[in-house]
Amino acid sequence: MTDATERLVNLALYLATTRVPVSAEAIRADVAGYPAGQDEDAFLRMFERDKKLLRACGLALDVTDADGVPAYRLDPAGTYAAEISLTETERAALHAVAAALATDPGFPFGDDLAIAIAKLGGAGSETVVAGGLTDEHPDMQGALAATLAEAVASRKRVTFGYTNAAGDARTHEAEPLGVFFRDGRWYLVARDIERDDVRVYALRRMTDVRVDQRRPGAPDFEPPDGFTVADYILLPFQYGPEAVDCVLRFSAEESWRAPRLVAGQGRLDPADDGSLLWHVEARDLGRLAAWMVEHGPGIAPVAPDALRETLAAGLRKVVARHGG
Amino acid sequence: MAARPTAAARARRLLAILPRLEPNAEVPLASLAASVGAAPEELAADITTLSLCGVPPFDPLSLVDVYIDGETVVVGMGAPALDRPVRLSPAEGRALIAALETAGFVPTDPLLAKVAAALSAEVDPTDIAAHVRTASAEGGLGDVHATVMSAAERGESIDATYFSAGSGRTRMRRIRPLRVFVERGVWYVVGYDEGLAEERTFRLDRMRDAVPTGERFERPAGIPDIEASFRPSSAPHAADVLLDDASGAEERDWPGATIEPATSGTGARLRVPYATPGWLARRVVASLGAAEVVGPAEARAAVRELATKLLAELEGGDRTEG
Repeated sequence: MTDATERLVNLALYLATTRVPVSAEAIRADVAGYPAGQDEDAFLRMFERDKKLLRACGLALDVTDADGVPAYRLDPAGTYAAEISLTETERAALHAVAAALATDPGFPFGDDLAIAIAKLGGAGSETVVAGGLTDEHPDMQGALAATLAEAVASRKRVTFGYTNAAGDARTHEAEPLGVFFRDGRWYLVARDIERDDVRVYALRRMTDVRVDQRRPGAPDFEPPDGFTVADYILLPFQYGPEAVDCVLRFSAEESWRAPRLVAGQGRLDPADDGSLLWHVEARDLGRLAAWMVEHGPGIAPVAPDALRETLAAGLRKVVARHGG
Repeated sequence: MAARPTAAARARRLLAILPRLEPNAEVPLASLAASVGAAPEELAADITTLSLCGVPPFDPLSLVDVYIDGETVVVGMGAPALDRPVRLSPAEGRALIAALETAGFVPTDPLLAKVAAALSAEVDPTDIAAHVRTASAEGGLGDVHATVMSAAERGESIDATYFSAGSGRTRMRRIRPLRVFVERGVWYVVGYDEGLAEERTFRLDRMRDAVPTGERFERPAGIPDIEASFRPSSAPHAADVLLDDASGAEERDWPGATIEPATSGTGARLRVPYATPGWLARRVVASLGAAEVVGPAEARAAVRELATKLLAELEGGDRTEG
């Protein structure tokens, strides 16, 4: 008896070799693996699933009308990839990310990554050793991130239990808009339906995540116009009630680090002396002052005065506590 | 025990490897299996299934002509079709873009531009970027990353302009890159620092640039133990640190530390391993008075000196916006 894997490969080969579009009935007759004696509805359901799976493999199917009946064949232009010429350096980079992440349980798209690299002709790398994208509950975070990324893509509502940093637990119903990874942890950006507000949730604090299974294939919501998950990836000092416009200076010697450190937040303006002025919104001046020290040297406050005073007061306290 | 792959997953990896089954080729089973993330025994079973696949009339000339001989995949005439690389599906495209983003490749990087040619028409990189982000650092690290990976594979030393968080200085280091790993989204290379004549661990996002030197080296036998070279618990010194508020005290913020509640109040007492006091001092000073090094004296002095220096710079500093 032909198994499902065999049937799918047979179908792919058949659609790739047929010279003219073929009907579902012809496919049923010619492709090994469709059960004999299967009723029409069962066959059509199986054939629909098979087409969907082949598309998920990257195959593009051309559907035409043949005397009122759909007919199918492979679309070569949509299926076959253009020749890609990678340099040795680029190939090494691809191998490294594949070797590090394809089997990392904290990376939610490992299986897809392995196939992607295989299609690009890649292989593993002996120079990469196991590490870990996430440092807490990698299996849980990776699996949840995969589930939620699918819910984002298919625009399906989700419900989940959530315990916030203050220890308050409740159930949320939300429209998932994006997922992001930061500093070893995965996060969901979603519109909380009851509160009608877009919030960020840490996956490690979630329990009992369920994707709405009603109306499969039909989206439950439309994301807001212009939504981008990057707008919700903030630096630690950007959480709080009141926004304050701040200006910091990266010295000329340290200016090369600025684009990496500012993580896309605010605006970097070059000054005549080679330094960079960073205009950024902060909501917690204490945490911004701490951030400046942690990522220094070469980062100085320019405005407002309250930032400079916060930093100075903190430094005096450090000196006093350490016998200065 | 890993879950048994579904028929769809098996079919997908078989379709992915078809282009690699060139007529009359012999391919090591292990490397072919690794290339699609499968165990050799799993792929061997799949190859057997593949040998039964084909198109009408299902005679020997229209089946996939492949079989397993020991540890080798032996290809006869190959496949009757699909012998060219297939485009990446939306899920595969998303996975690749997300993975490359962790390594600092930005959308404008030439590698991503090349990869875009292999994406299915259904893949919209802009849409993926709007909904999935994995970057640990902005600013385009792709070039550094690729240079280090390539040099590590070739066994070639690099000159890296490197920022040390411990010393706060940026200087040139000649490094023999040995092993690469990712930890908490940050990429590292374990390498032999020729100037220091010892193995060190370097963060790739602290490399301003990396240039291959053309000098080859013999990779030492055995894999450097990243536990030994990276894990802070192996650091030679340890400091006792008091935190005023224990509620935010996590080991991830004080790598390798043991954390105990203070005997009174809401604070915590930490035992923090460190290699040089520079990193520890900056970490404690960044608490802006909410942490105190109790000992040893050298760490306590380092904290005091750094805070005093920063205060002097601040009080004598420039207040203009340039």
